[in-house]
Amino acid sequence: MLEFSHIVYEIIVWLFLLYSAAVFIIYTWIGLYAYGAVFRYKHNNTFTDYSIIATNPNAPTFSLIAPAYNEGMTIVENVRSLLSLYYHNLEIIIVNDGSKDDSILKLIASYELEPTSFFVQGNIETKDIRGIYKSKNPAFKKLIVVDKENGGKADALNVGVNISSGDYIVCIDVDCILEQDAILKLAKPFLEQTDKRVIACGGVIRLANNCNVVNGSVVDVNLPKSWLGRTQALEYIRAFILGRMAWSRASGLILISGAFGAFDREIVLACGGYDRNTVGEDMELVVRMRRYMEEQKQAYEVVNIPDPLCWTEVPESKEVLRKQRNRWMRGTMETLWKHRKLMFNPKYGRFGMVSMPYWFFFEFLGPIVEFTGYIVFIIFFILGIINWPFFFALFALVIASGILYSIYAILVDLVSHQVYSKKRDLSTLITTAILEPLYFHPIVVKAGVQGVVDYFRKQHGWGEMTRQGFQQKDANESVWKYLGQRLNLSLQSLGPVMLVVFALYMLSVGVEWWWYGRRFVQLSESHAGKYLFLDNVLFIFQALACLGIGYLLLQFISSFWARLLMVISFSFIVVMQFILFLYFGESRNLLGADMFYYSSEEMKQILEASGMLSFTNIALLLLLIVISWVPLWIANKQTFKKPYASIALLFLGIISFFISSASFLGGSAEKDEFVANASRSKWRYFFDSNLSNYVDDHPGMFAMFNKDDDDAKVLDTKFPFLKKEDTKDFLGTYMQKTAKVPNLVILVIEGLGHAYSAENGYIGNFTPFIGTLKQQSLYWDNNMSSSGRTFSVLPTITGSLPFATHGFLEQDTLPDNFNLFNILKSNGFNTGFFYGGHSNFDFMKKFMDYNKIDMLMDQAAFGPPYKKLPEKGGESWGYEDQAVFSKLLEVQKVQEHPYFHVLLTLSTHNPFLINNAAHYEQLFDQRIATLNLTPEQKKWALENRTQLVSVLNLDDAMEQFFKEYKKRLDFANTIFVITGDHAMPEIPLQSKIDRFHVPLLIYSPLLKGPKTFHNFVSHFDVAPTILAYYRENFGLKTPSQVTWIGEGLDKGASTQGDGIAMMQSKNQLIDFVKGSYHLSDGQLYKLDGVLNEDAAADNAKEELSKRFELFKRKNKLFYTQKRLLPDSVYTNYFNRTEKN
Amino acid sequence: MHHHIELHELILAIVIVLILVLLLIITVLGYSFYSYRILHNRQSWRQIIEYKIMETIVGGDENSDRDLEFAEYLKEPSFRALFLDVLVDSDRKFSGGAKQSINRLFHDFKLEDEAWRKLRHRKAYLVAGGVQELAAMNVESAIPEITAKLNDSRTAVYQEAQYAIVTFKGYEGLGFLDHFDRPLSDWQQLRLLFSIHEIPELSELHVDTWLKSSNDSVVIFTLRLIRKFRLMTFYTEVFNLLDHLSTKVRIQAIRTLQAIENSGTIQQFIQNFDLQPIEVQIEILKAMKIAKSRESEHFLKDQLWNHSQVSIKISAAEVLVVLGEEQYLREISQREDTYDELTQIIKHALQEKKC
Repeated sequence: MLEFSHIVYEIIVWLFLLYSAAVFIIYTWIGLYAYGAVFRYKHNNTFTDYSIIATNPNAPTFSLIAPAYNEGMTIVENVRSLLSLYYHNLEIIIVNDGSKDDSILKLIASYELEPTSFFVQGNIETKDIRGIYKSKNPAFKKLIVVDKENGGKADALNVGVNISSGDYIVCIDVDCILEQDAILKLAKPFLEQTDKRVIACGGVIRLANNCNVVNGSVVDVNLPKSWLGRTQALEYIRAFILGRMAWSRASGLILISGAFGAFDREIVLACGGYDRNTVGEDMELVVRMRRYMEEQKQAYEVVNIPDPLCWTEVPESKEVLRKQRNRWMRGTMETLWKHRKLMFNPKYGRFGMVSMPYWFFFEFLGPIVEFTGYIVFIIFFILGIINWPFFFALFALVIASGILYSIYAILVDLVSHQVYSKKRDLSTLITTAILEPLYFHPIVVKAGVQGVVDYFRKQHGWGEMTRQGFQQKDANESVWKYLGQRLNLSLQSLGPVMLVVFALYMLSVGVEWWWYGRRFVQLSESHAGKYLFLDNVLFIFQALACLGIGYLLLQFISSFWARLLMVISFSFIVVMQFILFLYFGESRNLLGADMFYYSSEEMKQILEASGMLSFTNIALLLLLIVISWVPLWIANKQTFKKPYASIALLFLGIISFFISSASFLGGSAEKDEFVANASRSKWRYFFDSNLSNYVDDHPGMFAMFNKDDDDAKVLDTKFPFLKKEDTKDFLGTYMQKTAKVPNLVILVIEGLGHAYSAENGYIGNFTPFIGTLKQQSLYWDNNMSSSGRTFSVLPTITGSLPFATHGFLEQDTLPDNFNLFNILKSNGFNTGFFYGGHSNFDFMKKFMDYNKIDMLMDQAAFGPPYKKLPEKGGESWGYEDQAVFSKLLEVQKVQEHPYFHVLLTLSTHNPFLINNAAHYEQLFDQRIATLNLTPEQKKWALENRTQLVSVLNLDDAMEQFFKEYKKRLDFANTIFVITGDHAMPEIPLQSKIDRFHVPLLIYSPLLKGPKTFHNFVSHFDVAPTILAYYRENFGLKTPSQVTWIGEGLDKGASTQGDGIAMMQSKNQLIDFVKGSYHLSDGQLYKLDGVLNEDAAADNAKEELSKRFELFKRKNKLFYTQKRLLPDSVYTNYFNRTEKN
Repeated sequence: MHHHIELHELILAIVIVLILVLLLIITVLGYSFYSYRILHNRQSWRQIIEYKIMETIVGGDENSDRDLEFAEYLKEPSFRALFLDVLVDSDRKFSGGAKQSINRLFHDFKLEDEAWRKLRHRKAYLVAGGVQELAAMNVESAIPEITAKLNDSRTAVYQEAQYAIVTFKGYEGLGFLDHFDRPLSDWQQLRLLFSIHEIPELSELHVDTWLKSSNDSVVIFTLRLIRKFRLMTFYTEVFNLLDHLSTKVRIQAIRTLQAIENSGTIQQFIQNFDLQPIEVQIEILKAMKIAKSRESEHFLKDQLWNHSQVSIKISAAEVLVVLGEEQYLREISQREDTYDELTQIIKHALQEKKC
């Protein structure tokens, strides 16, 4: 649960950070891009002579449409101002939208109007026209006044569009004051169009509040008196000078202000005019016009020019401002909803892919995200998980960026169009910019959020609409109703798919059980089948619930993709179930996230070598995919009449999350690990493993905010593993004195577990030669490897090194470290590595290259007469063990100075194929007959015949090797270390520790005598002990500070030490041994004298967990810093030894 | 392996950006105040310059003291730039002696060099400004360089060069149209037309080629040119354009034909009418409205009754009003069997007062 909340926390914090970063980037872009746009316009129009079109009869005609509602107080003055506009081909249409005051009478009286017959040509449906008036006075011949029934602004504008006869229409609010040359400047972009049709053009709107207006024109510009007004002045500068100019230059503008904009009349008519059912008719029209042009595939432009052309009064009371912003937000939402089809639709080019998403994510979501941010802040504050330095830094950045953007807008405005040119204006605007975030911004955000709430609360419908304009029919529905219907439909279609998945999955579980029954005898007596079934039922219900809910959400965005994804994921679940249980059947290992830590090359090699990539298998896989896909695809086309089936399944799924599979699996009651694993849902294991692996890989924010201080002192250092080298010489007492530095050969045997290489193992001794060798060696029968697979054996044995995240060698670059290779080499040893396969496997080559070893003998170095292991599926792992042993004898000549070699075998690896198999099978049979095995041991042995035959082959190869070696002069002066890398997982393990239980022998003719040790030691202890021996007896220079995890073979994993951690696979660091306790996956076991284990009471658990945690933290500190020891320690050591 | 972003790194990054933002705020503020000062200076400078120009035009006494003071100002680059701007602007407003006086100011204060420098600049808007200034100053030696700019790829530059060449050479400057393959915007056409004042005789060859140009905007421009100077000789060529692919060209051709009409024009319009799309038909009716020829009366009545499009009926009725057929129209509208739409159309055309 905690992990889940970590993820949620991380997601929230990162979403906000990313959103802020996106806002920051977008506004930076807008700022820079708008600057270019403004200046380009300014430069291109420096000497423009507008008079050439002012009186030119060839210039296009403009129809200016001004709707008026209850404007009686000012309308006569306003119309006079419009009549004085400087443009010849202009008609002025005043639409009286059923005013309740005396507007129309005042107009008739002032302009000598008389009703005139007028044939309305435009075809946009509108409310009735009561009368059309023209003036008797030729001085007012440009004027047309329309009196109509009240129908709202959009309706009034539509009447104007119907009546107009110009090429272009200019829509304004009647209370706007236009600059004299406003039409001239708006006309220019239309006249300049060449290959792209200009469909709309807007200019900059400025605030008329507090300005001095004489005879319908602004003669003295002042900033508004109130701060609310001033902030809007600033806001208008930002919006028009920066925002719209940038989007205009990028051909992405989708808003021309309703207060003042010009449009191509032909396109407006083709689109059906203004939408009467939205409060954001200005934006909606531009969006619809653009949509029309995109669908007609005509090149077009929507232009904004930075000239201040229009002056308007803005609200200076909070109440009116709130209403205005509320309306704008609803308008935006209505437009976005109505044209949702365009969103991310590549058919609409930049318009669909950039403009609409921008508007959605930043203009619409902006206030909502900000508001959510405040709520999240409060929640985090209550929970006490706010990191204050982080908060203040970010907060300051956000505020400062906002202020910068405002001030920048003021600057651009200043250098382009000096509207506010009085000295005090500049300082007032700057003060406004600083105050705005504290005063004005919260009001706007609140109004925006209120707008969203109102939008949903009012069930905003399009119901009454009867007109069939351009592309309007798809929007005639309420949002809630639409969502409800979609949900219902998708629930109905989800039912059949869910049922089919359930059936297919349960079928696969049946097959799984049947398959195990055929292969594993020991399962028949247990209750594994019942548990397997129950665990899988729970899993599939949970999966159905998760994916089903995912589908329900996704289908709101795209029904097609949701269906496709659903069918793909469900078939994947079924196919993967087969793969997972077959893998378990083959390897007796659960497949988890470790599969992702092998490169594709390695994966291919593993699959090929194990014979899985055969033609039959691939054909079977394809067949399986088809079998699971086809019924799902068919079910996908079906729907139930009612949604109840899906609801019931989803409900069951949600319930199943509250049932723990452990409750009926009885926890770890099953003593036999293999049986316990067999009865688990393989999918659940795979999923859990990947999930926890993901969480481990992304410690992220939560870890950052919640570093607790336990053991802080231990971690206070940058190099948690660094310590003084104080390993005692332990081997010296068991060795004869000699003057000559002895050679060292380490033989690492693949899969050599204790269980089948020792008399007291639970299978018996199938390594007769190693058995005799033990009697002549120092032998540790309670030795543990550091990992359940090969990946960490080399760094552990030769360097006693930590794991990092997924094994030491998995790191991108290896951090500097001490190990036997580089220390012995610097002391004059020849070093080498012998391996029959590819040394790239598990990144071993990287390690060898790092250590600059003298001889790297891998697959490529062999050749006839050496023999490869038999192929399976056309691929062999590499050369047989006999070849690897002989190679060492071949290339390492007897020499004066010492040598150090590591040899890694591979015959005893899955698929356990060997040359001359018949011979060893015979040996196996003889051995079974002669060995005094218990019936239990005998049963195990026969069940794992193939594996054990390969072990006999290895043993024989080693015997030959020693026979040959003995003939050499250097044999007498060589120390051999023999061990296994881990126990074979293919042979069922009796307990968890068995995976790591491997023999350790030190054999040498120099030994004074044999001795068997029973203390618990591990591979981590080998390198420290060996180096101590060389240092004390032969004066070899070894580092004074080291990073050994092990303490030496004399101490091992004793109670006094720090304990040792072990990795089961590349992503499972869940095992820890200290003293006689083993902590595995949170469960504590007590180890007896021969490394058998039993569940233990929890009294030592706390101590072990704490130690294990400490190790993990040290390990993490190491891999995040990517350094193990200070450069000085590393370089000083090698410099010193070089000098010597 | 992955590198995780640690909190302190994030805070560090944020603080760095914050410092950058604060620095930018200071820079922007500084620059704002600086620009503000420049703007204020410009306002007072403009007064000085305008006074100077006025003085020059009026031809007041030479005042060497004030000239010296003015020369001091001229050392300031932004003052020179402003002076140049105001001069070019004034130059356009005046003609005759005043214009010459202004031109003399250019030379007296050696502003030519400034313009030449701009002409050779890399930025398009500066080049265009240079071209504009040299043209305004009538610097004939700049013609070869400006001619070379006709082939510049940047719109601002070649448009300005076109305008300058036409300003220098008048009609002869239009030679670039022979091979011009980019669209000529309406704005540019109007500018060019505006600066051509006469067409010398013996220069008709070009017009012929332009009318056949594959560039529609060149054809349209030529039609406007013919219209402006009433080049009757091209009547046939213009008439042949009535089956041009582009409707825009046809519309311009109709307008031009009306401007250079002869006795057969109305008949030709009538014969051609049915072959044209609505937009062109409306244009023909507009032309008839201007021609006021009774020849079209019967044709118009036919359209009023029988054409399917309302817009054509309205136009036809409006022409009939111009031809003095009010009585005829009124009679139709008062007849009981006239359908409603037609009555309204006629009333619309008659601009009848509603009672």
